[in-house]
Amino acid sequence: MTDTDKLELSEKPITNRRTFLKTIAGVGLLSATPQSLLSSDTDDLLLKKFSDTGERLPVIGMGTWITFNVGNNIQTRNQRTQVLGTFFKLGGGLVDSSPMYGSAEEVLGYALDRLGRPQPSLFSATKVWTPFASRGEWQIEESHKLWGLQQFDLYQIHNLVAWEHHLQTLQQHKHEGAIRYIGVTTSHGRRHQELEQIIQTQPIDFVQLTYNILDREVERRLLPAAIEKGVAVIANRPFQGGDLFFKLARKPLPKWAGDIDCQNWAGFFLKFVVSHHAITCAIPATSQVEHMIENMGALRGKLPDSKTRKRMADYVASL
Amino acid sequence: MLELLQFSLSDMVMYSRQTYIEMMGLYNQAIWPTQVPAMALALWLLYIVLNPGRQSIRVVFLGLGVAWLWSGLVFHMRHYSSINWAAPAFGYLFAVQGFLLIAVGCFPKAPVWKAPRKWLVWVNQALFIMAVLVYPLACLLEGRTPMQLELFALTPAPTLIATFALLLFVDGHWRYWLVLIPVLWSFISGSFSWELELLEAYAVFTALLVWLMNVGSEVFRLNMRKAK
Repeated sequence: MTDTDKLELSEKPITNRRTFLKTIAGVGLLSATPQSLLSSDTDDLLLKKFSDTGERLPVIGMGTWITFNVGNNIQTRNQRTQVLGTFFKLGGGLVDSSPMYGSAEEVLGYALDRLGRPQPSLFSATKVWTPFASRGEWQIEESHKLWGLQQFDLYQIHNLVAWEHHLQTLQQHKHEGAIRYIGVTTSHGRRHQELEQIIQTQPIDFVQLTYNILDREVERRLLPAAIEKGVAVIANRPFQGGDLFFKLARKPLPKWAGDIDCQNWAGFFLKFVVSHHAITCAIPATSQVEHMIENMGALRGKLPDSKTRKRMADYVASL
Repeated sequence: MLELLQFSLSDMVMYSRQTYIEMMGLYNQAIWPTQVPAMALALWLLYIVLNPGRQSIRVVFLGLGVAWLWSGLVFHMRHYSSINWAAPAFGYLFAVQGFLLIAVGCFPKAPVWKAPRKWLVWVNQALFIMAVLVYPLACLLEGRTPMQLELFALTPAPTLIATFALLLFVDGHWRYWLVLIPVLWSFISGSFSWELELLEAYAVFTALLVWLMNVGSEVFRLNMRKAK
């Protein structure tokens, strides 16, 4: 049993700061968490503008791949509710999921019910991924039901699957007001040429791609294309699916990491990602409250400038 | 549809090892006390395999058919589907295999035990013992609780291994039709388990390998006989 499994699972929604602090104090996280991270003030959050309306997003979002696919296990669902509650309490906004992620959307709906609706900072993002064009409408309807939302902030086409057809469908939904923004996604560096063409030619608001301190191929063409077209960018796999920790967790964090307010590797990796001026937000996934607290540390403090970014990349490459 | 080929195996494993094991625990709780008759069936079939008789082979086919049906209709469709959207499709595959085994068990002309070489009998019996006793207990080595174990007739892996054991032990070309779904499932479940670092991968691939080696040796002997 992990520490997070020992959390006292409240029957009531976690709606206030006191309940939250009590919860994490119960697992000994409070004493280990810098006071600045526990601030629920939104004044000091790192936000990025992503649309012509001036709307802004916190630079750290949340993914749900694997972590929120826990099926019908109520105990684990409640624990994930704590993870989501921590995310919101620490200023998080964008939550990303997909029908491809098993029960993740259903578990998110459950967690949102428990936390209390509406969550004012939630920026809901999901995907359509069926290869059968005719199933797209059905899948979109299902996602609305599972999340328990009338309107999605962002609807994306998962890994470009049947994108020509789904794009038409999503535009129709956007026109009707069921969707605010449209995006396309890819991961693991796949189909970049096609993605670039879509960025250049199609009316999309967001693009999601893999970007982290070791996987930087998108810096050459995709990120410049996104800047040129005014398309917001979500970075998935900011920890390279956890591999960055396996490779580097035992290596020392450089002393100068403190200059950019990084106390741990998670903050170091995330700040590298979100400091690229094309990146709107990164979406690390976690199943642990303590890891969520670490991730959300990157939502505050200084961001590295281009000189420091180079230093960060060089340091990681040297390890 | 071809676009789905861009996804790698790790893209399709959408749950963690812990989630899978916990799902198994919830499943066992939900079906309790079905484990009791399932174990009784397992031991009965094991007794028959250790003491094969002409008519008793029907019982093994029928028992395995029920095991495939249960694993498909209850495990895959009602429980595994909570964490894997592909599980209902797996359920249909298992149901087809279950009906095929039951059909063979009910066929007027009963299948016959092969009279293979003695070492093959031992391999067959060892594989069956692995399916009903060794594999379920070995799951404890993964840190599972007794409630999270995978039992013969109730879960796919031990049912699959027992089926390979049975199909080593009978004669006739029709058995190649009966092995199509087990071979397909070996690749699916073995690959998923490999990604999740579960013992199931080793157990399933061992059973598949034993079966393939047996087929290979049969083909070799046949060719040798023709050459003479």
